[in-house]
Amino acid sequence: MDAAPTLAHYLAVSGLLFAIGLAGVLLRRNILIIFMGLELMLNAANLSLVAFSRYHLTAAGMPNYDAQVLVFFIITVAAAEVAVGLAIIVALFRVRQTTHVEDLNALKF
Amino acid sequence: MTPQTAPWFILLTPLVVAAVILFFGKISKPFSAGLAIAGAAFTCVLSWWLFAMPDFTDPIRIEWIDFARLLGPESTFQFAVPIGVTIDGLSKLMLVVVTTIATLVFTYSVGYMAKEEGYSRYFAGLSLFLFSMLGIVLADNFVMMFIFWELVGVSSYILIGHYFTRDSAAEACKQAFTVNRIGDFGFMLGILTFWLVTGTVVFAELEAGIGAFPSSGWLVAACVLVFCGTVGKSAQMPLHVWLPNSMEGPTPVSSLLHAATMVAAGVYMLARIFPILLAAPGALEVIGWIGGITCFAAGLMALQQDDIKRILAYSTISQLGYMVLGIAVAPVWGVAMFHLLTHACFKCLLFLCAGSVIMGMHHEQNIWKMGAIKNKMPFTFVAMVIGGLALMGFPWITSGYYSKDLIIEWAWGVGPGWFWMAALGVLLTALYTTRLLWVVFMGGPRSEAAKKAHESPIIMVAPLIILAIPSIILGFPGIQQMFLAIDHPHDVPGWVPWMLKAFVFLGIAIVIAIYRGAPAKDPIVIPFFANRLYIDNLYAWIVRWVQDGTATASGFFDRWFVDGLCVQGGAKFTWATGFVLRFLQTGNLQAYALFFGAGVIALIYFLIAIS
Amino acid sequence: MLAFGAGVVFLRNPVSSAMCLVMAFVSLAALFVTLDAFFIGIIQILVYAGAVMVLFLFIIMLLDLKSEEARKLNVTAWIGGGVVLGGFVALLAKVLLGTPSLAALKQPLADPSLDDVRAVGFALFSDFNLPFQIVGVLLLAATVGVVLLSKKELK
Repeated sequence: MDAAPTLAHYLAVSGLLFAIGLAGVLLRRNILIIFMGLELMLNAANLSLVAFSRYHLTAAGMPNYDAQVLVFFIITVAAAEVAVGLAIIVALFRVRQTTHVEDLNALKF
Repeated sequence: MTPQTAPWFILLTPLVVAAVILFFGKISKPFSAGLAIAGAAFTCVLSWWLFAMPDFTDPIRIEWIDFARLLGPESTFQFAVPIGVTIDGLSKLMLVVVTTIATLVFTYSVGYMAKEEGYSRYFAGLSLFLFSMLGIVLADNFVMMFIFWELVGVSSYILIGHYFTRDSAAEACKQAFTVNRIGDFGFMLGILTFWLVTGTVVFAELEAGIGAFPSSGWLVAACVLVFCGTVGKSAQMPLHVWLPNSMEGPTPVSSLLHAATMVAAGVYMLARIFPILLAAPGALEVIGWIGGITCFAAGLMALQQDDIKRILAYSTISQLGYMVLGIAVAPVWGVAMFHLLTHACFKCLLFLCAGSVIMGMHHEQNIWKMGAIKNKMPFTFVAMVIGGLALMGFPWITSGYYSKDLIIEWAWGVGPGWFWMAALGVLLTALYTTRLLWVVFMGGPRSEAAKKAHESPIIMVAPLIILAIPSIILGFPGIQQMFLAIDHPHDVPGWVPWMLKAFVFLGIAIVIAIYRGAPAKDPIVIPFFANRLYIDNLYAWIVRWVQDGTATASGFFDRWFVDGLCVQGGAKFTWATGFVLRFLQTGNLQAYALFFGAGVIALIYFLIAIS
Repeated sequence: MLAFGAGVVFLRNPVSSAMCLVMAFVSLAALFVTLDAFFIGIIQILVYAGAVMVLFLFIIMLLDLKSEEARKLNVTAWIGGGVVLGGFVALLAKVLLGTPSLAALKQPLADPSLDDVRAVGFALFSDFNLPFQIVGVLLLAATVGVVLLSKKELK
């Protein structure tokens, strides 16, 4: 690996992380793990945003902080989402006594 | 009050009365009745006063719709509809007839309706009716006449349907309205034709404007269309069916309807446009045939009816046929109006008598439940005999004799078909009228009610006596000339009047010979006549057929096209799509996520591929 | 980091997954720091590794989740997932390799002292003030919602 990573490297890492998260969402049956996969996907997006922020400097030669503000928002919203999502999972578990999505098939004709 | 303002008072008084009764009629019954009678009497006095005045040529007129004012005088669309009155011999005569009859009927109604429900509503309806009729009489243009024409239709609807809780009454008023609408539609088309060609609807200007018709065919068509209004309103042959059924209304209403208002409106309208009709001999031909056929066929139908009011209803149709025929055959409108005048008196008299009999018989209308009541109801008996004699045109002493014979004599010179129909109509009139009188008053009592019959109160008998007098004397030449100046035809052979007199006596004799034994039911049964020549059945059949056909067709269209294709088609398509798509709904969250992810990736791919 | 990420997905025991997730987040924070985004790196650790992961673990304990026993593989799901993931990775590779401008090296910053907390805060309260307030409301709503959802009587 080169000493100086390029933007493409960061984006590749970001993309792969996203892919791993997606795989977790698609393939795991435990709804908690699926949730973790979602978190991974969000963070992958964050990573690419920060990378773009660093590599596209502003005219003053500083990182583009707009992207970082966006990341800040994403983290905030993700935190809120985790809280609500976990509360939903708990409520669901109380009713169904399971965390397996295959047992949660009410969305069906 | 000047003669110029008097017509407006005559016209608007009944309207105001109707409104006041409608809003304040709940105060008391005498208030409603008194107000209505006072209003009618006021118009009556004014009418007579106006009648005594000489004609004047500058009546007050209100410009109502005037496109010259709206669009400016330079506009090419020039059309004015004024609200104005015509005061001439014709309208003054008609005013007198209408208001006098109305006053008497209003008075009579106090007795007849005393125990009925809807008392105030009844008098409000009567006043509205009077207002509408006076509007027709006074109108100086087609549009105004048509408005009041329709108002007459509405108020007759209200009055015929007075006992609206009875199914038959509700049906009858609906039928009257609908049948009239058919005629009125033709009337409207006729008015539009006249307006289109001459550019005016004012009667006085129309006469000068008929030269604008491109051909006589157009004029005839326009006149015949206008005549359609008469056919509907005056119950001429194809559209006569509503009149007998309108007997569902209270008897005084029938009397008003048949004598002075409503049905007379058609004839009056023909007289109003008489100068135009004279220019269209083809139209007169049509009018004559309709009138002739009506007077003959309605007489046949009247022969076999059992309901006292229905007999009179068919006789009205028959007499209206004479009037319409009179318009067609005579060179002046006076001939028809003369019969209208006398008929108004004796038919009103007959109906009021019939109402009195029905009251005395405790609302029994079947003549075969009556009999031998001449001693129990002497005034009614005498009045009704007078009315009946006038109706059949008993020679020399009754008004009907003079007016009817005049029409028949005029018909002689125009066409033998018309003449013979009218002449045989005399025989028929004598037959059914005598049958009516004989069965009702003579013979033996045929029911308990007939034995207990009693004379009506004085407020009902008084109008009978008042009406009986003109029923006799109105036709006498000296009195007739006070109202109308008419000529007799000169070329009628001497045997014609004698044959008509013979017909009357023959009719009376035949009936007495048949019915003298006081049979308990009609010894002669002719189903063809009793069923009114099956015209009602034919109409019912046509209506049912057309209606069912239309209903089936539109039902088919609705079910298969509108519902099947447009409404349910969309639903079925959605359903089918959903049915197919539901196999994708595994209920598995991850499957959904998979689809979602696949969709997003496809989308990104396309975005990249495009850029 | 990617290994930890993979561990999140492929370990059977949820606790192990959660621990891997922590490590993935921490390494992600390190990546942020290499990108000179110190503030983001800090809140990454604070919010995710701290708050969110505590929540996860708490829930795992609350629900008393056992490690998943091996089930038979859902072949369709694996095939579908494989296709989608393969498509995604292929797309990624195509974009990354097909876009030369992405190979740019890091430019040196004009001001190496870099007080980016101040810069982010400045941006937040000036250009992004409205979204910031909205996010505050969102957090409030989420709090209320969680409390509501956690009530036992809730049917």
